[in-house]
Amino acid sequence: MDENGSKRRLAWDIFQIVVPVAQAILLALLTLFTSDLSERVSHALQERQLDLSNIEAMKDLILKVQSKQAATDEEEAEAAAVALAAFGARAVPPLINVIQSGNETGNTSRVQAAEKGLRAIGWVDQNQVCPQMARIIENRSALFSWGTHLSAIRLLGDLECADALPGLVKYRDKIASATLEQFAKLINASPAPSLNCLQQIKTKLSQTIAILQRTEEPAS
Amino acid sequence: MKPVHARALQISLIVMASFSSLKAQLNDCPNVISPGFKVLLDDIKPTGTISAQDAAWLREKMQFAFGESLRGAGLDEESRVNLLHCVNRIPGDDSDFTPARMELLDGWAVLLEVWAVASSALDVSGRTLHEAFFHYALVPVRNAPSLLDPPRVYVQPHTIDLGDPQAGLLSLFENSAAELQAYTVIAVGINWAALEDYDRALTFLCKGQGLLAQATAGEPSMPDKALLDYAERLRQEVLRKKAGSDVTLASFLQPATVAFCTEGR
Repeated sequence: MDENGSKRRLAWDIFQIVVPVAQAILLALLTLFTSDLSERVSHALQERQLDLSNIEAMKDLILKVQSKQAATDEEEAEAAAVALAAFGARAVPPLINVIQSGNETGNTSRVQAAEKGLRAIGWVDQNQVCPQMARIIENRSALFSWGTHLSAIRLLGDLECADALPGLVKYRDKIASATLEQFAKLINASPAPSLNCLQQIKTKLSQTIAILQRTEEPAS
Repeated sequence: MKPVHARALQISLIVMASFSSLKAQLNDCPNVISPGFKVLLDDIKPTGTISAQDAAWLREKMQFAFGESLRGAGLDEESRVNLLHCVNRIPGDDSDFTPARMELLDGWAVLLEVWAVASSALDVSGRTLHEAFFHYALVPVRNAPSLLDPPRVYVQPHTIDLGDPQAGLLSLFENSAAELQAYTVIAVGINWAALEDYDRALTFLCKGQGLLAQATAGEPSMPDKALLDYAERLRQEVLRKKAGSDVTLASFLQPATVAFCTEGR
């Protein structure tokens, strides 16, 4: 056998060894990929089903916290809001809505209850609440009432939402020498804001900014 | 703050729920968001032998007496105060006035919330008299930063003879209505001070001090004395602010230069 023939034979032998190994690796990868894909699909379907069942359960609690009884019964409102908080991030929009409607109707029980719910969610994971509260105070289309702004500012401080500090400072500077008419352009007209509302927002902004600045200071 | 395990949430929710179950029920006052300064008059809680009808009668008379009292308080158009009757609302105690609730009430320009608990007692001759314990929550006072400041909620006892409606009514006019008028005018002054309307703040802080001194016949209770002191300290601070001087420095260096409160009395 000449030298070329033996080289070809060696290459053929190597090929015969490598191909089954490569086949096995490819098969394993394919199996892994398809099983991961099917797991993902199954997980997505399960999550969707969970979402749908959550919506049903949440709907009952939302109705409870918005009910006539909750409007006059602080205990009832708090129980429903705190139970709603167990749904985590999904409960944030309805709880904001409860605060907004409580302010529109002068219902402090609902507002306090919804704040407690949001505080519970934010205590577990502030990222689920802080960005939403920051969006409320940064909103300039007068979507939210002054009381909702007040709740958002309070929660930003309570939950130590450090990322919200620049937005709070900007808001404070914007309304520092604002007239009632200028302030009224930033917030919802229902209920109509007064100088007292503006004063409350200013005070709460100062308090919250001080809290967040303290939390940013390195511990001595 | 870092995310915490879901178990921690469950525990915290249980703890929060158990605390919330201790809280009193507090109905809301639907008209509270209406514009202008407000005094909230809640229902009277009947206890002991006091009937619901007696309590309702007393509340009606109080509303009339308080309305007259506010009309005669000498407030200007911008400081006009509306008396709102909050149906089925009876706060439990001071703990119902949480900071969050007080901030909302303050934003809605509520100056004062008044409620009463009625009970019965025997006088020296063995005759049954009805007592009403009036509670006043001074909403703007919650901004007070010092321990020396007056309590947020006062309790003032008054004896009202429901067996003699005329005497009962007279008692209402003479005691609780005069107190309410004084507290309201002081609260108006505190409110204007917060809104930096110094002239109105000075006028009504002075006027309120005078009215409270009259209402207590020169013998103020401890909380009333604390309120009088607070109103005077605030008035002096407003005077210094109006003069544009350094409030802190002036309070230490030149206390004698502060004018006496004579206006509005």
